Amino acid sequence: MRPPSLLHRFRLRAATAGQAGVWLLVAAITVGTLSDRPRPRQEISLGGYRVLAADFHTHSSTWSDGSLTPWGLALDARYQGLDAIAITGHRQTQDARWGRWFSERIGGPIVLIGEELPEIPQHVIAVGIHSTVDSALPVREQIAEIHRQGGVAIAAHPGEFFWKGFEPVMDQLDGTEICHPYTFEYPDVHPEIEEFARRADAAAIGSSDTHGPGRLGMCRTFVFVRDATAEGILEAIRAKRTVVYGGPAMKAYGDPELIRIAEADGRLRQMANIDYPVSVLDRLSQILGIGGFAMLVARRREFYRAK
Amino acid sequence: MLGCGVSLLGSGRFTLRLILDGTLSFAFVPLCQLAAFAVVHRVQRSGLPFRVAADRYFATNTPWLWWMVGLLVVSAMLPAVRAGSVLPLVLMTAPLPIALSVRADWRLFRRDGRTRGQAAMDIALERAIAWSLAFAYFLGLAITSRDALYLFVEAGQAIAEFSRAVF
Repeated sequence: MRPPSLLHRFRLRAATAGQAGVWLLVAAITVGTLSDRPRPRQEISLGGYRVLAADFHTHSSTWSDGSLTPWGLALDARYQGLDAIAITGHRQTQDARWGRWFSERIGGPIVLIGEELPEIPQHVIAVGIHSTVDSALPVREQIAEIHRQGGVAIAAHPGEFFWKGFEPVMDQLDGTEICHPYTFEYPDVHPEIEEFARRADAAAIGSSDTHGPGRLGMCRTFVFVRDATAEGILEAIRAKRTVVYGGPAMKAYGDPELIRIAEADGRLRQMANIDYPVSVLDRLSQILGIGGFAMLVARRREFYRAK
Repeated sequence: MLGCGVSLLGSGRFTLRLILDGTLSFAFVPLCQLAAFAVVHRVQRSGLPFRVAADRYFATNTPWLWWMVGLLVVSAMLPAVRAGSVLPLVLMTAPLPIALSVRADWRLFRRDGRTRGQAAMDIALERAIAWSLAFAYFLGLAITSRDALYLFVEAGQAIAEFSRAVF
């Protein structure tokens, strides 16, 4: 009997590796899904207000270079222990409408209609608007239009590069991002957005600006509301009733009296924790999944070579 | 695989809810490739059925898949607060799979009997269509400069004119 040809041996090995790869991947997804537990979400009342955890700067994958669909963002917000999010597509509000529609149907978090107006040299976040604001307008008119629609205007990641754009409207901003994941990557930027916040005298805002990598709500805003509704959130931002933990030292920013109450309580600082521990199951899921993929790709190469 | 990448970068694990959502979010990538290859396949007037030709064509994505395996390894090692660090790495290393997949396409088209010039044109046409479609969808509204957005319109017009000339 003739020994199997090299080609035959290739095919055999590839098929075996492929099957093993699929099983590894299935195991990785099973383990990963089992260890995927939501962050604890508590109903907190402090100083006579209900405290909501919110993320006002998020991007979805529909036309806005994010990685999750609008409904995926709403589901993930629930997993990340958030009570509210604003979906802020670039120059459009359609994905926010889809996200709100979905969240209302599943009894999910409050989804506010938002938009990011990313012009040079400033990026403005509009939250609580009804229709798309034209980003070609001068910044002063952008903000006037946001206010006309009943929304709030937030300065997005206002590092020094963006200061010039915001100069004419410092007194019109309702909020300014004081915690942004960018500052964990580049701590040198944090003093810049801190300096901007001092000058703007607006509500302190923490936002994840999520596009995919990282966690939704990694930077979050604690909003002290009278009513746990979209309107209640906007009213609280206008009244600057927010607390944010940000910067390398996770310093508290916002209303001094509310900071005092929050620090005495301690739960908000705990909820703002940016330490996302990797469990044994998570690590196992990573190893199995990456191993499975490597085997599948190797199998694919051999398969086509044999073809 | 793109969905798994989304899940790993967004949660540090392979979890079904994020994999499904990420897969849906990035379904436009193979769809844009398929649309572009459909045009190239028509230009090539190949005797192969489209299904078979497309299957062989997608095999030239292997450099991208290895590159993504590498990115998954890096993502798994990064703590959540540094997950954004993967983006500069993506931009810096992407030229490698781009070049390798061009080489793989070149070999495939040459093996199918295309001349050097024709193979080069096929690759250029495929990339122009696929990348324009993908960028227009993914970044079209997001990019900052309106002039840059207009570049896509111009690219679309040039492709339309070229397609009219070819067909």
